[in-house]
Amino acid sequence: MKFAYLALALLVMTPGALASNKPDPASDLKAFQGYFLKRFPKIPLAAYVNGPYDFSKSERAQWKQIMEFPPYQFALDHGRKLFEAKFPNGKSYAACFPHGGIGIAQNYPMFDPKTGRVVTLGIAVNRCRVANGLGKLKLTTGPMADILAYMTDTSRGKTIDVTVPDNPKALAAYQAGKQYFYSRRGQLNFSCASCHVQAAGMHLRGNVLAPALGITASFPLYRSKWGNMGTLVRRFIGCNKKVRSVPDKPDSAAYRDLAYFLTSMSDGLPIAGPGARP
Amino acid sequence: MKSLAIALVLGFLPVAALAATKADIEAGRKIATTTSLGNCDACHMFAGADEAGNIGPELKDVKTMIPDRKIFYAIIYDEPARNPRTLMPPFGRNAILTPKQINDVIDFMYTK
Amino acid sequence: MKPIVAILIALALPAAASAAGATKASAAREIALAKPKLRVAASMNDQWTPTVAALKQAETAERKGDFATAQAKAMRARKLAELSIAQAMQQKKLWVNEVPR
Repeated sequence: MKFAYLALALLVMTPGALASNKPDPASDLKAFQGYFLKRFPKIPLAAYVNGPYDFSKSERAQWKQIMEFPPYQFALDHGRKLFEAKFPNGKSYAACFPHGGIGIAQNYPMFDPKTGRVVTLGIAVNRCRVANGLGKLKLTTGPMADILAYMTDTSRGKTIDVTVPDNPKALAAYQAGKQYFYSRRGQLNFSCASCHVQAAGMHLRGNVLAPALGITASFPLYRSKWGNMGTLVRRFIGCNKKVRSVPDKPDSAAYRDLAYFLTSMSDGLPIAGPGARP
Repeated sequence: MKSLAIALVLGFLPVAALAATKADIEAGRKIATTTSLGNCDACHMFAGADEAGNIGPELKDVKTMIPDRKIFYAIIYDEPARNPRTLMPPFGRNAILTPKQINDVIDFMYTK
Repeated sequence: MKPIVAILIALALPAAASAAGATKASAAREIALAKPKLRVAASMNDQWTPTVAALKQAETAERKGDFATAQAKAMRARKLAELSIAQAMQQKKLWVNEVPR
């Protein structure tokens, strides 16, 4: 143990090691996107927001049919009503966000230098509620998913831009999210990357595993298996349970950081949410 | 700990290798196709699997594929120890299946 | 001192493992041994759902006076917690191997 500390101290003191150990989101992004583009040369970068539908003709055909009457339409309309409704104090969500909350989803999750933490769009909505004397909404489904569906819809087609600022706490959050993404966990010993990088596009039973690239772009989404809307954090919880790992709390640092890393890996892709999945 | 695991592995092998009964094979089939147990068909195609996945290799003519039962046991028990990049869960090491259950799965797969 | 304790525990284990010999005291002891391991696993952010389930089953069985089941499930919970701790420790080094380059 003592030796480990000594080794760590030596590493930290070596300038070269320090430079190579500092998180480098820009080169990570290049390697991450490059990996998928090289592995699936027929799929253009922007098409990754289609997730499993790039890999299964039958699912894609079904999806096209479903999208004639999008299953998230009801949530979208409801979300708009909720978003535009006045709080008891006369204010509304719009006052809490730049541009009145319209067309900003592509910039979330965002690092908040004041608290030193990552803020997802859902957590920002809850902050707004608390600031206006209201209680927090559940971050996984229900009214929150509907509000996020509306806000995300106003960003549809806009380019995801989650740039990690050169701030030690932001970089630490990014790095923590990255480590979470690649760490195997649960009794079944899977990492997020096991399924969504290594086995991307393959079949787990009848389901195509969506590539991690572009995966955040369609959230929140209507999942037929759920029968309703769900946010990205709902999916995190589901994946954790599937590998037999106790999920984190929806507003935990672990999930904030994971969303931060994962979304930043889709920088440059268009927002495609709300979405629909099997 | 490791030697204990090895002893356990070795201890179970000859017994199961003696003769696979119909009951063993049927138990193995059940384990291989039950989500909460082996869930083999989530990733592997094999005859009789329903909506099988394709993450792992197809299990066909398994006796030729893995003639050595000890190696087959090791693959199911702890494939990451043999191949760190594998996606196959360490069914024995992580106590997902018991040694008896692993042997039943082997008996079943050897009929494929 | 420590090795002696470890040997004593190791010697005690086979006896404890036989559920037939389980008593109210031995079941309670196994549950008490499992709990700190679960806390460590949780603190490493790698608790397994079957671990939590096994401890819950142990406590339910204990309340019902089924000490054999309580003891066996507590031992399983501890084993699984230890496995998850080992996994979390290994992953601190191994996770980098999964990063695409």
